[in-house]
Amino acid sequence: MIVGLSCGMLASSGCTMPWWQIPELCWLLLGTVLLLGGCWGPETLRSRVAGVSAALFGLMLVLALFFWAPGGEAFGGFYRWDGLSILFKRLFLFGGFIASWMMLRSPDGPVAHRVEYVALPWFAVVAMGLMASAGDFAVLFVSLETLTITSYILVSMERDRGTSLEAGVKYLVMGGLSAAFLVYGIALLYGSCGTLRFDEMAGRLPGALAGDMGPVVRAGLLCVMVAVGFKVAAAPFQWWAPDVYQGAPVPITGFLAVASKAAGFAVLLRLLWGPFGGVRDTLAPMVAWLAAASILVGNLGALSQRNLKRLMGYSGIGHAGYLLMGVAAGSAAGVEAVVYYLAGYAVAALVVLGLLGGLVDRLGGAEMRHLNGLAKREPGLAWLMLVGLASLAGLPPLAGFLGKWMVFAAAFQAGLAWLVIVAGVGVVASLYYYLAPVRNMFFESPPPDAPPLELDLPFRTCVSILMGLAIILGIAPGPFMATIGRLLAGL
Amino acid sequence: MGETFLEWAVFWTLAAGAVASALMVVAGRSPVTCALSLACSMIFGAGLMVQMRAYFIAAIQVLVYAGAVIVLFLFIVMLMDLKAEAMRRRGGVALLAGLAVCGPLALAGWRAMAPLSGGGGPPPAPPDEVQHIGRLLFTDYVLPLEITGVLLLVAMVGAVLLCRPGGAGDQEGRP
Amino acid sequence: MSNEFVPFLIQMVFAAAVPLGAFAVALLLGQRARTSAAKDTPYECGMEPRGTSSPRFSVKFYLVAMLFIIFDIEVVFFYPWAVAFRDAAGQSWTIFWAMLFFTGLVVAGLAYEWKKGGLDWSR
Repeated sequence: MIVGLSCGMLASSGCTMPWWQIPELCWLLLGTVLLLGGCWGPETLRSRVAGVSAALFGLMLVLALFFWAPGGEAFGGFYRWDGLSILFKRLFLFGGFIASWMMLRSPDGPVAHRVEYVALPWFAVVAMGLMASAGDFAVLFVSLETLTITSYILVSMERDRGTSLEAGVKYLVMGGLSAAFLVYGIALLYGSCGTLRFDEMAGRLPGALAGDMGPVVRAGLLCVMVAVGFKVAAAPFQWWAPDVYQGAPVPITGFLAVASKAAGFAVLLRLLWGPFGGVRDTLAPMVAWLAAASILVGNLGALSQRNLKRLMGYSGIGHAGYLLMGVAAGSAAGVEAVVYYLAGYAVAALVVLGLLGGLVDRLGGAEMRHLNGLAKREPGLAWLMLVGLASLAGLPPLAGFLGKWMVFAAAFQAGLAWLVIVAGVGVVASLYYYLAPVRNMFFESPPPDAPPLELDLPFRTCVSILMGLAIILGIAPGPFMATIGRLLAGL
Repeated sequence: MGETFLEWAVFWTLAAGAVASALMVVAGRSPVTCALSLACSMIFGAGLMVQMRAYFIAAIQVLVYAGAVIVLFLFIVMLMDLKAEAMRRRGGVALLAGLAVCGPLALAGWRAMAPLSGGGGPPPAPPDEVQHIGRLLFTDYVLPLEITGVLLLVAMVGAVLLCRPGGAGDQEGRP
Repeated sequence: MSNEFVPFLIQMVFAAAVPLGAFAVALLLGQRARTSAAKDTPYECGMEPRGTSSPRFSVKFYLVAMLFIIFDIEVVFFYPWAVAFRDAAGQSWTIFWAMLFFTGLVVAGLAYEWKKGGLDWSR
C-alpha cells in the first residue's frame, strides 16, 4: 500500500523515475496478493475477494486521478511516464474498477474460479499500463502478449459453457496470428533500422523508408499495423470480436470492450506519435481505409444481430472505426478527440453492459426479446439503458454525440471529407440497431410469468453514476478537455 | 572457394530443410506428422543459428522448442480424437489464402536480404556469448524480462484453470 | 565457416549412414517373410488386436507438460544469469534484484499451482 500511495507522485518533470515508483509494480503486487490470498487465505477473504478487488481498483483510480503528474522515465527509457500513458492508465483502471464492480453483483461468471476471475483483470491492467508506457518494441511485444494471454483465460474461463470455450479458441487462433504479424513486423523494422528503441527508431525510420530498405520498412510497418488492427478489432481484422464479446461473461465483455480497446489505441497513438512519427503521412491513408472498413463492417453487421452482447461486439468494431478516423486525422485535435471518444464510449458501453450483466439471469438471456417490456417491469432501469444506447448512437447532448462531433471535425479538417461521409452512413445505420432494443423495452409487453427484477442498490448506484458521467461529459466537457489538452501538450 | 562454398552448401541445405519441413507441417495429413515436421523445422533453424555463431540461441531452440514445445504438441494431438481431423482435406481456397499472406512476406524477407548480400559472413561471436546475453537481459532489458515473468505467471494460472480436470463445479471432470 | 565444424559434419554423415546401411543390408541379404492369413492372426488365446492405434491420453498429462514448459522457459533465464552474475554484480546489484523479483513471480506461480492441486496427480 505504501508503494501504491507513493507511485507516480514524486516523479517530477524530466527526471529519472525510480523503478519502485511505477504504478504497475503496485498493481502487480496487489493482483498477486489477491490471487494467492484468495487461494491460501481464509474462507472469509475468498468470499469477499470481488469486493476487495473493486475497492482496491477504486483506491488506485482515485490516486491516479488526483496525484499523478507526468514527466520522467524509468528503466533507461524503456518505460515512459508521460501524459499519454497517464490518460490511458486512468482509463484502464476505470475499466478494471467497473468490471470488478460488475463481478461483485453479476450472477454470470465462473462460480468455481471466483478468485482467478477477480484477480486476473489486475494482471491485464498491469499489461495494458506497460503497453501504454512502452518505450521499446521488446516491452511492447511482451506486455501485449501478457494482455492477450490474460484475455484468453478470462474469456474461456467458464469451461462448461460451449460459447465461452468457442470464443476462447477463436480469440486464441486470431491472437496467435496477430502476434506472428507483430513479431515479424518488429523483426523487419529492426533489420532496417538496427534498433528496437522508440526514440532511436523515430530518427532512423524516415531515412530507411526513403533508402535502399524502403520495401522492407513498408512491410514491417504493414505487419505492425495489422497486429494493432487485430487488437482494436478494426476491419478487416475483426472476425474474433463478435464471438468473443458474446461468449465471454458480461463483466469481461465490458472490460475487453473498454480497456482492451483503449490499450490498442494507446499502442497505436504511442507508435504513430513515437517511432512512426516521421512516416505518419505514409501510414495515414492506411489508417483512413481501416477506419472506413471498420465503420461499414461494424455498423452494417450489427443491423441483423438479435443478441445484445453480439451487437455490442459489432458496434465495437464500428466505434473502432470512428476512433481510427481521429487517428487518421493526424492532428493534435484528432488525438484529443480519440481520448475523449474513448472515455465517452467506455461510460456508455459500461452502462449498457453493466445493466445487462446485472439483469441477465433474471431476464433469462441477452437476446433482445428478453428485454421485452422492461419499461413496465422496471422503468428506471429501462431509462438508464435508453440513455446508454442513445450515447452509443451519438445522440445529443450525451458524450457519444460530442465525441463523434470532435472526431468528425478533426477528420474533416485533415481533408478526409470522404471518410466523414462514410461515417455518416455508419451513424444512420447505427441509429436503427441501437433503437431496436428500445422498441423492445418500451413498446412490447413483458412475458406473462416474468419474475420480479431485483437489482441491489450499490449496483443501481454504480450504473446511475456511469449514466451521470455520460451526461456530464456531454454537457460540460470543459474540465475534462482541459485535462486532456494539458496532458497531451508535449505529444 | 573452399570455405565459402562449404558455408554456402551448409546454409542452403539447412534452409531448404527448414522450409521443406515447414511445408510438411502445413501439408501433412496426420497431425503427428505435422508436429514432428515442426520439430524438424526447429532443428534446421537451430542449425542456421549455429552457422551464425548464435550457439546459445541454437541450444535453447533445440531444448525448449524442439524438446518441450513439440512434446506438448504431441500430447495435444494424442489427447484428441484424430479420425476426423486426419481425413480432412484442405481446399484450394486455403492454399490461395496461404499464398496471399506468405507470398508478400517472403518477398519482403527477400528484399530485406538483398542489400545485405554483398556483406561477408556472419559477425564473429563474442567469446563469452552467454555472459553477454545474461548481462544484457538483466541490466538493459530488465523490464521486458520481468514482464516475461508476469506472462509466465499468468500462463501458469491459465494452464491450471483450463486443463485441470475435476475442479469444483466442473461437470465434465472425470472421477 | 571454419574447420571446427568438420568433425561435426563427419559425425552427421556417420549418424545417417549407420541406420541407412542397416536397412540396406537387411534389404539385400535378408529373407522375405512368408505371410499368410493364418500366420497374421494372434496366437491361440491371444487378444484380438482391434481398436485405435492412437490411444487417447488423459488430460492430466497435458497439464504436466504445460507446467513443465513454463518452468522450462523460466529455467532458461536462470542459466545466462548465473553465468553473468559474478561479473555484473561487481558493478551494480541490479542483476541480483532483477532475478530476485523474477524468482518471486515464479514462486508465486508455484504456490498458486500447489494450492489448486495442479501438482497433485491423483486429483
